[in-house]
Amino acid sequence: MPAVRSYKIPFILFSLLLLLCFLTNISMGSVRIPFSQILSVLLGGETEKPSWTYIVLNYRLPKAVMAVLTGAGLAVSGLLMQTLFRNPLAGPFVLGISSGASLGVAILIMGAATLGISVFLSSTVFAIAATAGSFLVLLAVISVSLRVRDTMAILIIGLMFGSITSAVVGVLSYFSSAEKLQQYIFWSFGSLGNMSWNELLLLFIILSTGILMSIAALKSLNALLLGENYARSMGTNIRQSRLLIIGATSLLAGSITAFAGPVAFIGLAVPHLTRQVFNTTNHRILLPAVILYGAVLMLICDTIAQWPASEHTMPINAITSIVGAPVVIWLLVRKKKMIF
Amino acid sequence: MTTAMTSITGHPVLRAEKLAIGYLSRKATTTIARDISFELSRGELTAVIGANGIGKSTLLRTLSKIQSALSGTLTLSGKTLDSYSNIRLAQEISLVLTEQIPSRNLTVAETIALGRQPYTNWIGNLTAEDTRKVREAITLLHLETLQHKKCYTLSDGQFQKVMIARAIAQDTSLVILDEPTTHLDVYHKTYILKLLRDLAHTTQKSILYSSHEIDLSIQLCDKMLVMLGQRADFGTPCELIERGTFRELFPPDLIEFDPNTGTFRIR
Repeated sequence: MPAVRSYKIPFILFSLLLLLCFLTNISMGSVRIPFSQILSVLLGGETEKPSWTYIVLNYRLPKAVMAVLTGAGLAVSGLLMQTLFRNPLAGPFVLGISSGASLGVAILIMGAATLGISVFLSSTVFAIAATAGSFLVLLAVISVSLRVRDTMAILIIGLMFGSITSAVVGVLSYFSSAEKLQQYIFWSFGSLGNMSWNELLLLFIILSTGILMSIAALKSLNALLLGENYARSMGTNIRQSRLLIIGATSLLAGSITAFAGPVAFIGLAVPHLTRQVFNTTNHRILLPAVILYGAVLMLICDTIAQWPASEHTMPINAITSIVGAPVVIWLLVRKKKMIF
Repeated sequence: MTTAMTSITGHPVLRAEKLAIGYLSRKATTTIARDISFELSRGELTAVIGANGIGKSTLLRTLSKIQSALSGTLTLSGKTLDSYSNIRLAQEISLVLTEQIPSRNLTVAETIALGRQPYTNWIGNLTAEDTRKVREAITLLHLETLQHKKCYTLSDGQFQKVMIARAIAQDTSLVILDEPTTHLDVYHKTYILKLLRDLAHTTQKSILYSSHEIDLSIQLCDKMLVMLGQRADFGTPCELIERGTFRELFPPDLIEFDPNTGTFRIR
């Protein structure tokens, strides 16, 4: 019967892959720690050197958890956007949501300093600024999309919002001090490291809220696969579900951008990659699938980021673009069109 | 469901009285068509015909509550259309639209199962009853061999059947189709319209469609609603031919209606 396939095998395989990537990720780093020692730290045992326990518990483990959260959250927000805008090219980056978050943070770091207001720059304040910024840009895109029917136009409008944002950021950086500018630029490189367990807990709570909202929207997401008119004729409250989906996306993409900086392409690419494995559009399968796939891909990107030059970690944003952009091109060339 | 069961045969599913349709904006009211009265009964196939731009789509949009009527009354199973909530309306009226659906990566069975949404719980679980209704719709439209195929592999005619099956699975007393035969060749046009008539008769649903296929509709429909702008004429095809309604349908300079054959001819 409809949707019989439970996709048990791919789900089990991906969970195992996630575990494997997670362990590989925490085994890599500037200090070489034997794998058996890492396992013993994870299982709460003793290690030969106390510093190893410290590195694993306070540096590598938080970073790996952060990679899982970031990958999962961005992938879900990409999936939500692609269904809501009925466009395979939609994603938190393309629609200007991430630029909105950047604008929020830019105003917080540089704007406040320029105006002489001192703000306490805690990560919670970052999160609020980025979420507010992304929510505002999404609202603007949505209000335009109500008037413009063509989804191509909406994407272009998203790109335009992106340019406006970077222009405003440009003006702000022109007037701000070198120290503040550097702070902003480092944020915009994106980084999964330097997260405290408390910050991770906060991010986890925000992301769980976003994912719970997505679960509540599952039924209307499936209805939206037939378009808004059909969804309405099947009893979906379009306005309410649209708000729910947008709210979830800005929570997910906004809070991640706040903590990790703008991370490109994961949101756009993961839903497509997932559809290659899980050949379905049913969101009840896709939602858990993109969470797994997003986490795996982000862990791989982070492993690459710290691999070649073990002394330094490369900016994660660059890695996801280098991995993500060719994947999208490959999909377009090989599959001719992105069926979604 | 309860309403559908309690309504007695012959009792109209939908009744429109002195309906005026059009668009309401802040500045002005644009009336597209007025004085439309008709009744849709169970087990009957009804066609809405009229020239381009006469308001067929506007009428269908009004009937399915996408936009509201300017004046007049609309009663669905004895209650005014306005008194229906989204969900209750979805249990009474299902639609088949001309628009392309954004995702064609759904399988035929999945698409049809989406028609059960007005009845499923918050997360959309299909009960045994839902599964039975979906199977029934698949059997009624002879889609058994296609049910596991993806929608993008189907031809236009096959896809139209899938969307009709989805509407049937929605289990409503009224099914509204907006130009279900566009893009189809004459064989498939006839096939779809004949299928609609059989469905109306076997399922005892009321089926309403808009179309430009006047001669086919004259041969196949139980009732017809002919929209003429300032008024609309409603009746069986024979009654309408006797009244000379079809002669008023188009400007008389190019084509004329031949009441003996029921077709239009070039002058």
